[in-house]
Parts: sequence; C-alpha cells; structure tokens
Amino acid sequence: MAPDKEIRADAKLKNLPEADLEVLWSFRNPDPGGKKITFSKIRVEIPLRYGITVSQSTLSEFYAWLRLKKRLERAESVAQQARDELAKDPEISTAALDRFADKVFTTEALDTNNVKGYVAIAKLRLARDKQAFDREKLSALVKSKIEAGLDALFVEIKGNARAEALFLQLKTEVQAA
Amino acid sequence: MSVRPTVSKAMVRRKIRTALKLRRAKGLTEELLLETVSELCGGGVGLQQLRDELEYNHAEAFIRSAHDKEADETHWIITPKGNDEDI
Repeated sequence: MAPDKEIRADAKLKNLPEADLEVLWSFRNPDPGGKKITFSKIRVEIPLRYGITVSQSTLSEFYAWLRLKKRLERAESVAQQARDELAKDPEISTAALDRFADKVFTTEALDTNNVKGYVAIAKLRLARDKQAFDREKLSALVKSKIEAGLDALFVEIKGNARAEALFLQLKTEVQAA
Repeated sequence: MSVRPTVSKAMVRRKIRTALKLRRAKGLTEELLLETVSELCGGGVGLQQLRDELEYNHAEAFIRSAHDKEADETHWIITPKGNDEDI
C-alpha cells in the first residue's frame, strides 16, 4: 500500500471490530419486534460512535458487503458442521471431506432468491460438461482415424520385414502418445 | 452479439478482491464469484466481464488460482498483495 494513500471510509467500516459490525448489522436487521433503522439515521449515528463520516452510497455498499460476509460465514459454519458429521466415518479421507465441505459451502452460500445467478451457474456447468464430452468425443474420433490409417499403412507394407519393424516401432510410439 | 457491460472494469476488479477477502484461506469458485461480485456491484456483471477482470487481477498478482483435479474446480484466492490493495 502506498504510504500516502488515504484510507477509504468503507474500508474503515469494514475493519471495525466484530462487535461493532454486529451493532451495525442489528440496525438494519433487528430482532423480531425491533425497528429497522434507516440509512439516513445510521449516517448520523456512525460519526458519533466511530468518528467516521460516510456517504449514502458508501453506507449502501458497506451493507451489501456485510450481508455477503454474514452469508459466507453462515455457509462456512454449516459446511464445517456437515464435515464434522461426515468425519465420524473413518473410511472417508481428509481430501474427500474437504471436497464435500466445499460443495456444502457453495450450495449454502448461493443466494436462493437469485434465479439469474442459478441460471448462470447451471449454464456454466452445462457448458463445462459439454466441453468435457466434446473433448472425449474428439479424442475417440482422432484415435479411430489414426488406427484406421495405421491399418491401411500395414496393408501396404505387409511382407517387407524392414518396413514392418519400423511400423511396429511407430505403432508403439503412437499408442504411448 | 456481445452485451456491453453496465458495471465499470475498476469496480468489478475491486469487488473481486473484496469478495475473495471474505474467504481468504480457501477462496471462491468462479460460480460463486459470479454471484457475489454481481451482488456487490448491484447486479449487471456477466460471466465474460468477470473472467476478464479475474485475468487482470491475476496478471497483477492480486489473486492466484488453485485447481482441484478430483473435483475439477478452480478456486480463486486473494494474495497478500491483493489483500493490501484496497485499504
């Protein structure tokens, strides 16, 4: 970081202690029966509590970040619980447990109301599956073409001992590739 | 026809780093980044734009990738340089 770089107001907010972040979270997400506090009122409250002046857009950006932070923490917690539960089975490797936990994390972290996000992800997965399928198909096609070429070549050189020896060498190299 | 991005490059670049800082050790997959970055930008971030700005952050060594062969998944992870960038 450059020494003369000014610290952004949103970075100051994000770096507040966890207890303060909880207070700010509760302003917008009160307990049942509590009243949600408006951004305008929070903008007045923040300089009084933390000595930071924030614009409306900075505050809005901060709350988007805080909401995401909460969601990822919750997802991490669920993933860890699921991992711990599965870890009771001694036959499951650490790597498999990590992969499983990561899947749980991803599923939990996805915003269930974000239909567009789901569609984009589904398309990504489908595209990736199709790419893998196309690669396999192409690989099988190339292999069969090469084998057909080798068979045709062998018919041509059959009976020529030197050529047959070279052919076998070539075939071994091709199969190893 | 390609869709013109509605969110600035600088913002997407910064939000990628912001999202990855929320999971420093393990990072996030491209799928999850697409959703989180779009959310932090208030929507309007496409897959191609995300990939372009991931590439920028990668070229600047702000982020690194880790590929899990078994799961066939790549995680993007914030680097110390990327971590210090937006403070």
